[in-house]
Amino acid sequence: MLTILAKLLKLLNSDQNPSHLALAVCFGLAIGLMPGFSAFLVIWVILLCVLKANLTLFFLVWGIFEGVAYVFDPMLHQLGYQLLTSEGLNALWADMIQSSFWKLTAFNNSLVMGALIVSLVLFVPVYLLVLWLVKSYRDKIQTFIEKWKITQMLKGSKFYRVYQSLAGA
Amino acid sequence: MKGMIRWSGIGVAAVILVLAFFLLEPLLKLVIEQAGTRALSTKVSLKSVDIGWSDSALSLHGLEIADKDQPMRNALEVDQIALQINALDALSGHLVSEQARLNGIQFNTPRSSSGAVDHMVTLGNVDEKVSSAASDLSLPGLDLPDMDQLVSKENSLTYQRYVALREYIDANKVSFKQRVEALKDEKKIEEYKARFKEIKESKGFMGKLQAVSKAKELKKDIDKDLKEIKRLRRDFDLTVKEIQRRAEQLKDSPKEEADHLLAKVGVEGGTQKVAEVLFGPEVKGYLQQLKSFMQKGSDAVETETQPQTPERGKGLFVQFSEERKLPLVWFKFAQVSGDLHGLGVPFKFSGEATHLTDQQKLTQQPTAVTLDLINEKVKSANLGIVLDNRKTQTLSIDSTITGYQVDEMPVSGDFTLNKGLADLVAKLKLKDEALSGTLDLAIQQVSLTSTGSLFEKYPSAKEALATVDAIDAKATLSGSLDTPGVAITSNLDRVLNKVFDKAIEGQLASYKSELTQRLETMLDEEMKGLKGAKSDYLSLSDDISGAEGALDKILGGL
Repeated sequence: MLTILAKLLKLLNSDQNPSHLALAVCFGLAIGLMPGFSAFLVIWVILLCVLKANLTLFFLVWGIFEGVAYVFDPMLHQLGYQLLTSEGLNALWADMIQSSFWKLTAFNNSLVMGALIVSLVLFVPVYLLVLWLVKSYRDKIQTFIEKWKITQMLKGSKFYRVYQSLAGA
Repeated sequence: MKGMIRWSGIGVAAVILVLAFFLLEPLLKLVIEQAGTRALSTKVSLKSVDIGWSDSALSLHGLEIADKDQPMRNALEVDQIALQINALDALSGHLVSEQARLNGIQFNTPRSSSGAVDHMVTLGNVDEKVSSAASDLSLPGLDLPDMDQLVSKENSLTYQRYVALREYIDANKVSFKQRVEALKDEKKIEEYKARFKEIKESKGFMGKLQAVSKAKELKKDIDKDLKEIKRLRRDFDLTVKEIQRRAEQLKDSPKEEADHLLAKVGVEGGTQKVAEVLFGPEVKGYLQQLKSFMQKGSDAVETETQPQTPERGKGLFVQFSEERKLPLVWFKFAQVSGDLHGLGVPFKFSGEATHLTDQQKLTQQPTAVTLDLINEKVKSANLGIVLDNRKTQTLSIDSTITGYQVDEMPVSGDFTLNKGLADLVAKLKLKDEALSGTLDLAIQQVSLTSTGSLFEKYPSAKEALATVDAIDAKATLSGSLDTPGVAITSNLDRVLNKVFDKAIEGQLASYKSELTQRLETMLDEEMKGLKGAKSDYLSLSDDISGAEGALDKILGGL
C-alpha cells in the first residue's frame, strides 16, 4: 500500500507530462470497467499503447476500476440495458447488429454498453479534471505541503525511504 | 498531438497484434468449442484449428460431439473439416461457408473422457433396446397357450350360457306356476260346479227359462278360462322349445368356445404372417434407431434462453432482429465422406450435402444429402436424405442397394442369412409423427439358417427354409416412430405356412379336444342341476292339462 502511495506521489512530484497522467487515468477507467469478452477492450489497449499514457499510473487506476466495476456492475448493467432497449436508439442498434465487427464488440451486452457509455462520457471530464489536479498540485500544493511539519516528520519515516528508493530507481 | 503519440507504443501494439495472430487459432478453437457446447447442450471439442490466411481457409481437426444420452460416446466425429469462412463470423462462433469438405465422418464412436455437460441424464442404450426387441421370437400359432390360463369359469362363454338358461327356466317356472294356479283355483271350480248343479235342478217354466240364461253365462266363463288355458299352453310350448334350443346350444358350446378361445389367442390364423413375426422386430429396431437419431438432431434447434438477472460481470445480451442471423453451422455446399458402421449400417460413404446446418429456421433451406454407399460386397448403393424442419419436421429417405452379397447376416433372433444377393429399394417418409414408406427386398441365391427353440421344435420348417433359394419381401410402414406399424408380405409366408400348418394340424386338434373336454368337465355339475330344473319345468304341462280337463268336464255336462 505504501509502495502504491509512494509511486503515486512520485508521479505527481516528477516532471511527467500531466496529460500523460490524465490519459493513464482515463484508460485505467475505461479498461477497468470494460468486460473482457468485448473487442472494445482490444481497441482501448491499442490506444493505450499508441498514446502516451503513463503506464505506471494506468496499472494503478486499472486495478482500482476493476474493483469499481464489480461494485457498480448492477448500475452499469441497468444503464446499458436502458440504452439498448430504448425505442429511439433501436434503429441504430438494429443497423449495428448486421455487422460482424460490431457483433464482435458485443455492444448488445448490457454491461459492455453501460461500461462503454460511462467511459466515453467520463473520458474528457476525467482527463480535464486530472490535468487540472496535477497542475494545481504541482503549482500550489506541492511547495505548500513541503513546508508542513508533518511532511518534515514523514521525511524521516519508512514511507519516505520507500519513496526515495523509488525516486532513485 | 505529435507529443501524444508513443512511437514505441506502435511497436508494442504491433507485437500485440502479432501475438493475437498466433493466438487466434487457439482462440478460435475455444470460441467454436464453447459456442457448440452451449448450442447443443453437449460437449463439443476440437483437436486443433488451422487458419489459412491467404485464402480465408479454415481447417478444423478432430471434431467430436458427445452423445447427450451416452457421455462416453460421440454422437458424431469428423476427422477434418475444411472450409472457407468469414473470419469475423468465425470469431463470433459461426461457421458459415459456401463450400466445405468434411472427411472422416463417423457416428457413435467411443470417447476417452466423459462428454457430459451439467445436469445431463444418462438414458439406456438404444442398441440394447433394439436387440431385446428382436430376440423374443414367438409365433402365436405355434406356441399354444397355457390351458389353465385360458379356461376359467368366470370368463367362460359356455358357463355364461348355462347361467342364462337356468335363469330363464327359473323365471318362466314361477310365472307359469302362478298362471296355472289361477286356473286350477278349487273355489272357482266348486263355484262352477254349484252353478252347474243349480242349472240342472231348475224347475217350472220360468225356472227353466232362467236356467238357460245361467247356463249361457257359465259357458261364457268356462270358455274364457279355456281360452286362457290354450294361451298358457301355447306360451308354455314356446318356452319349452326355447329351452330345448338353448340346451342343444349348450351341449355344443364347449367345442364352439374352444374354437373361439383359440382364435382369440391367435391360433386360428397364427401362421399366416410368418415374415412379419420374423422381420418385424428388425424393421422396428431400425425405426427406433432412426427415432433416436431424429431426437438428437431436433435438440439442436432449441433456442438459447437467458436469465433476467445476469451474473456480475456477464450482463445481458439484448437481441435485435438480424437481416442475416447466422446459425452455428451452415455449409451451403459440402463434400462429405465417412463411415456408417457406428450406426449399425455396414457402409462407408462419400457424397454431397447442401445446406448442412443446425438451424434450418435461420437458413430457410432444407438439408439434402446424396451419398454413394461403399461396401466391397455391394455392386452399387445410394442414399438420399432430405430433412426439412423449417415449419414441420419432415424427413425423406430414399435408398437403393443392388447386388449386395450378403454373408452370415443375422436377420432376426432365430434366423441367419448365410448368403444371398440382395436388392433393396427403400422409401421412407416421416412427417411430424406420421410415418409412411415401403421397403422392397429381393434376395437371390439364398442360403438360410434357422436356429432357436422354434425351429428346433419344427425341424420340417428348418428343412423347408433350407430349400428356399429366393426371398422377396415387401414391408409397408405406417403409424408413427413411437408405435410403428410394419406390415410385411413375403414368399417366406407361403413356404413356412405350408410347413407350420402341417406341423400344427395334429397338435392343434388334440389341444382343441382337451380344451373342449375341460370346458365340459367344468360345466358337468351344473348341467346335472339343469336337467332337474328342466324336468320340473316340463311337469307344469301336466298341471295345465289337469286344469283343462276339469273345465272340459263341466263344459261337457252343459
